[in-house]
Amino acid sequence: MISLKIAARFLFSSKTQTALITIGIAIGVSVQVFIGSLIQGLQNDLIDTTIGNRSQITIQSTQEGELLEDDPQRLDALQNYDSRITVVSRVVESPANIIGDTNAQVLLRGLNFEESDPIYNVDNNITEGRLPESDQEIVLGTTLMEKRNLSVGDSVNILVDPEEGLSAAMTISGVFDLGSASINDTWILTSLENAKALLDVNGLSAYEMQVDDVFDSAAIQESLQNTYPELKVSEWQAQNQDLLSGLEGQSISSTMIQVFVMVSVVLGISSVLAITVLQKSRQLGILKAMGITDGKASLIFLSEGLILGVMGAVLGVLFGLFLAFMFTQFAVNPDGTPVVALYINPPFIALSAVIAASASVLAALIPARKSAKLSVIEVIRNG
Amino acid sequence: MAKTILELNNIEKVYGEKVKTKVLHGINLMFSEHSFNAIIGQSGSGKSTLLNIMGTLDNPSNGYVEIDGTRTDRMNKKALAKLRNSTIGFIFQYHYLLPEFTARENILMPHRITQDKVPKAVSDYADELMEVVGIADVKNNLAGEMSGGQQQRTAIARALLNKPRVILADEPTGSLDSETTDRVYELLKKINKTYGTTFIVITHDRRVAEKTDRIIQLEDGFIEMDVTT
Ligand SMILES: Nc1ncnc2c1ncn2[C@@H]1O[C@H](COP(=O)(O)OP(=O)(O)OP(=O)(O)O)[C@@H](O)[C@H]1O
Ligand SMILES: [Mg+2]
Repeated sequence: MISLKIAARFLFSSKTQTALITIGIAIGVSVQVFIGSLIQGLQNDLIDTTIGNRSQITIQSTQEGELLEDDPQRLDALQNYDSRITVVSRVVESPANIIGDTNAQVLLRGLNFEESDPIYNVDNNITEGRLPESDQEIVLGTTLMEKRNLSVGDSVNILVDPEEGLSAAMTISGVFDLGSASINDTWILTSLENAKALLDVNGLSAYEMQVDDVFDSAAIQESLQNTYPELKVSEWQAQNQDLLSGLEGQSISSTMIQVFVMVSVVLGISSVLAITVLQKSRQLGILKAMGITDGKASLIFLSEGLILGVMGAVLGVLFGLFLAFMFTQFAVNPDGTPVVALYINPPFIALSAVIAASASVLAALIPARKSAKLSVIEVIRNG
Repeated sequence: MAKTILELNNIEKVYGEKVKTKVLHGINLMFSEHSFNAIIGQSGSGKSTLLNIMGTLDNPSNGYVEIDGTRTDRMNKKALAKLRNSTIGFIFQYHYLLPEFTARENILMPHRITQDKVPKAVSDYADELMEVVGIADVKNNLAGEMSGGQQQRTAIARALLNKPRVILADEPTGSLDSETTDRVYELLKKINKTYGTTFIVITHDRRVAEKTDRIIQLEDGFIEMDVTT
């Protein structure tokens, strides 16, 4: 306690020096918080656009084109398989053509919109009209609508099996925009029942799933594959190695920046505290003559490190959050949304602060050891 | 014969690695409890060196110090720190207060560095000491903002706080005028009488030395004279 008190008094008695180190640490921490939030924001953005509206784990038949049985028990089993699985959605799909002046290749997909909503959120992305309600109704993507010059209410002929000439007339009940040009150009969505009827099948093409933490997909995939060896279970990470290595590269560079910032902070504190030991050697000599133990004498400088670290960390977090806030205010798209939505991750920020405070204590170790070695007699004689 | 509180046995001190200078030549001295002793001698005769060795702040090149029957060369660092804290009180020539703390905080420091709590008895004693040395009216001033005499008197009060059995003082009035010097020595004498504290005081002031129980004169590292009055 007395060490902490003496440390506080020493720091308070040289305010300018204290303020400078504190600001130094604070700048380091704020850079960490800001860069960290920015990079995590970027990554989340990237992950979200890439796989946020996709199936993250897909179960299909091992035989391409073969359908799975639409078994309510299996759906139930999958839904309760692992608490990390947030969505299980059934889909039946088939390549198809719209019969007209040019035969456009499309993908007819039958979904249970309620089940699939957490993945594709078609309902909220209908730009015109509404979701298919009755049989024979479909929704098309914006790009396809424009290309074919169609409008809501039009009827189109869809050819699903050129060999058998299986086709049907469908009414366009709405238009969707799922944020991806290729989807908007090729997907035709309808209800699961309608698609089954149209394709004249009773099975499913796939179960599509999403998970809570997208990076859990590999583990869950493995476990599912073991449970259902007769099926083919795939997951997004295996198909997106480029994205993953990109993300990893970003993480590494972010960590490097943070490590170097911390190293310079530690060196800064360490050298300033080393000078403080010299400045306060007279006081240390007096305290030692009075009978302070070497341990408590060292603790004075560790406490200085701790006080500086904590003040710097708190100030740095506040400043970093302020920087982040300014960034979202000024680095904006024409429509006013931020260029990058920063990801404010409290555990990460707390960790940065704790690391900074511990680094400061660590930085104070050398000066503290030096203070323990200081000989009283030198001070008394040269006083 | 009073009990011996501090004893020097064949103390030698050599300075320098290549060119060796012996500044203390086998000093043997015994100090009885409750006595008031003066050490005099010319500048460079080895007085400070000897006092610092007595107080365990410095190590002799040869010989050993016994305090209250225990050899200090056989004590570990922790035991030495405790000894310096509770048995010995130092008053240095240049008052040596902690400038970041007030007079009162400086006086309480010897207690605070070993215990977190300051009991009322200790706090009252600090106030009493401040009255005795006459700094009660500046007790909340920072040490750095007091006059030389006030600082010296604060240092004296601090040396007394833990009721040490021995006070070692190196020219405690060296920086004071003669009137203040007289008052400080009155004070030390009074403390010696009241609390029975043993004093070993370096002074170059013969007038002061003559009022003590015993005068030890050093010359070039030898005891030139040792008289008990
Ligand atoms: N660290 C040191 N290295 C070398 N010689 C030293 C050292 N400290 C003291 N001396 C020498 O030891 C001798 C005794 O010094 P000391 O300080 O004990 O004298 P003193 O009697 O206290 O003198 P003064 O009255 O001037 O204070 C002196 O000759 C001094 O030069
Ligand atoms: Mg001297």
